[in-house]
Amino acid sequence: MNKTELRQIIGVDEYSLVICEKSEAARKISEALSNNNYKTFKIFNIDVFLVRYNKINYVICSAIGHLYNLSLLKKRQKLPIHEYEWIPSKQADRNRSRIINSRIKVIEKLSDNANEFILACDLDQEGETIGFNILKYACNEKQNIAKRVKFSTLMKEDIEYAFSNMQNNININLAYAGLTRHTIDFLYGMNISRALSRAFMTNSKKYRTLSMGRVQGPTISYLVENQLLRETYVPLPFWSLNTYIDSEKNRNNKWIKIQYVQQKILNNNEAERIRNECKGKKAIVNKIKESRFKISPPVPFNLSGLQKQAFRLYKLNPYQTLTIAEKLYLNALISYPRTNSQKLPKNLDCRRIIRDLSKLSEFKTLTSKLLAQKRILPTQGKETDNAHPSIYPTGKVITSNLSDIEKKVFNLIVKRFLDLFREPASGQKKEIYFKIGKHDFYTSQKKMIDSGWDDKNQVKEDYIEFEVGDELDIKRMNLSKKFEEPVIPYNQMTLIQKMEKEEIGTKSTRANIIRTVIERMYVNGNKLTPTELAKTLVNTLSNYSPEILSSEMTRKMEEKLKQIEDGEITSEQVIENTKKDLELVLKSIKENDKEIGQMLTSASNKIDNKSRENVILRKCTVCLDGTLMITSNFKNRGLVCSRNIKGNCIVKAPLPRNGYIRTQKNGCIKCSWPKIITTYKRRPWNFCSNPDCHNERKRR
Amino acid sequence: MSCRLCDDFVESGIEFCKSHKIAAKNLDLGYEIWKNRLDFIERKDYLKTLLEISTTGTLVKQVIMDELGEEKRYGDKKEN
Repeated sequence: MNKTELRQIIGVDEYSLVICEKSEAARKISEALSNNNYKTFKIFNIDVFLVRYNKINYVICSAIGHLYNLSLLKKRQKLPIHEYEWIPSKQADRNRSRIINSRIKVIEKLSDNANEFILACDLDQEGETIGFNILKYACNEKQNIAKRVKFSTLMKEDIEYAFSNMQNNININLAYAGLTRHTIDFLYGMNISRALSRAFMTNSKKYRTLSMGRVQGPTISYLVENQLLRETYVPLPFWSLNTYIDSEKNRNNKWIKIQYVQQKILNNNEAERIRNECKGKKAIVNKIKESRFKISPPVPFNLSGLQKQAFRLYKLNPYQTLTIAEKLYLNALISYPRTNSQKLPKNLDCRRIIRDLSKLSEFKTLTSKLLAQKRILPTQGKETDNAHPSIYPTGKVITSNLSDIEKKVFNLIVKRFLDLFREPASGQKKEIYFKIGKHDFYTSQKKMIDSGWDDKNQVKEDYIEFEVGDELDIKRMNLSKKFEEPVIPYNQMTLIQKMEKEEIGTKSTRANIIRTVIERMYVNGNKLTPTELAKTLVNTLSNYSPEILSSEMTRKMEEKLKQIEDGEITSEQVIENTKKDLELVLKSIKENDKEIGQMLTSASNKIDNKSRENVILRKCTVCLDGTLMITSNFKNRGLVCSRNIKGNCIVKAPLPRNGYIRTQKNGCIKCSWPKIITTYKRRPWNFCSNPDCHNERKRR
Repeated sequence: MSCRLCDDFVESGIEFCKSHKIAAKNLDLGYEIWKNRLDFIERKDYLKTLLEISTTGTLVKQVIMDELGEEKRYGDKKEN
């Protein structure tokens, strides 16, 4: 396709080329700028949009995330690897690679005729990096002359404002910081993973990918450390004295539980002595402390706040929440979700958003209450983000294309937004102290006066009015021996919180890193229990190159990236230093090649020889009696009916090696064998488990 | 050389691997605290009680089993 042909397709001679990160964003921008009056063209089967706004023609095209990735300059390089280049992304999936190449071709063609370049990718480090690479490689070095539009929602007003107030340059420093992050991660990953795999291969004469990255290392080490604490835990005993009393003033049927002031009594004899001294005595109210308390409304959601709440309420892992939030953003339902901020924008028309949200039936009562208020003032949090405000609903309420869980997450964001404008909850707290003999006991009672924003904390009136000097009968006194508990194992959410606390990774990458750790079999499924391989890897590296596992090194690197962003140091300086650090690590691994290889081989053998447990699914759809199970060893998986073992059922079939397996309630229409749904990386795959099924053969 | 309780590699002359060593150390430290809190407890009773508690670490339980096993064998020899 030459310039003239392209001009004929588009129909305009002069235009500004707008580059978006995702196709949905490109469509939304086109809709916003043209009042839905835009033209769509297909070039190399990719959608491109043409709009006319403020007397300027804009051709709007899009990437699909990163179009360029780092790759080795030469295929077979000796360690240390220092030579690399940016090339069009190669994906394991051929279709995706083809789409990436088509998108690059489209942008290359469109850039030939463009007289202005505008970057409209997401406003963060990744977005700037994606845009920088496209402008540099596909648009032929236009990164220094391209303009930038900045918006946090895909709403019409925001996009129009962004196009009327364009920045004259993209944020080059931010892009350099992003490029440096990618380069450092690439160098670490390539060099250390290869060095470890080589040590393993030399010893075992087998190949196994042993990946270890800059953020991955400390993350795995947190899991292994936590597991070690649990495995080497010795429980210590303590005693607690729970006493139950009753009074005529108590209108409940239950006795009142009071506690000994010292919650943990650390000596058996002392606990016995206290109990004996209290026996046969009455509990006398000694002191009453009254206080008022206030529970402020919650703060606006940032990404980790949303992930935490979605995990708590719907058991969504952080990656799932991020994916859903991105979809909601691309549907213009919420603002940009990859944010640290807990503050709403200063000029946000909150009343307009609440009015729009009142169209949602589930929030009608709440919104009408809020709209009746004279002043609408939101609660704000402490955290800030230079690029984006907190997550908030835009006011758009068309949710028909959302799945149930997506609607739940959307409603969660709407509810949180509306709660920001509500009154604090308030209540009264009473601490009542008792004397039994010479020993002190206490209990506390809470009464909500106004439940405010907190719908769950309803106003309760079960307050017992004790007075000093009241004498109460002791109904029961229990002395129980208990044991101190070990540390709680990490789940995906608490691990993200730990990473946040240690300042490793970014808000956008943390969920992905945990996903990689799971996929590489360093942990057993979602419980995040480290495997033998992870334990050995951490053990080995802590002996020979502990710096790879250190949060300190990763944190320092994040600081350096921030300095690049602020223009204080250059990308080259940081990359050169990284290369020097890596050489030391590689030297240490090479010197201890034999020992490292031995340890890794032993761990790998343990995993290979260990068969996985059978997973029970549901009733068999063929014999309608047996239970379907997944049986597996390390390499293969199969589906089998429990009655197949005795020859009473025919169901026995191979399953894909990777991915989460579920079965459908009803069997295949043709052969009634169980239908399988498997999810691995991409969208779910739905198929009949019978290898000889006619339906299945035809589809293949 | 491998660890007395698992296949992990250890240098010659060392009984336990790093993890089992921590477990054994915690077991000794724990015994001092147990003795203090119960005023006294026989080591054997302490070990047996720990085996029955679900939160006792798996590596600790392995060290306990090893110690109790050793004691039994030693006792048998003595009787013979």
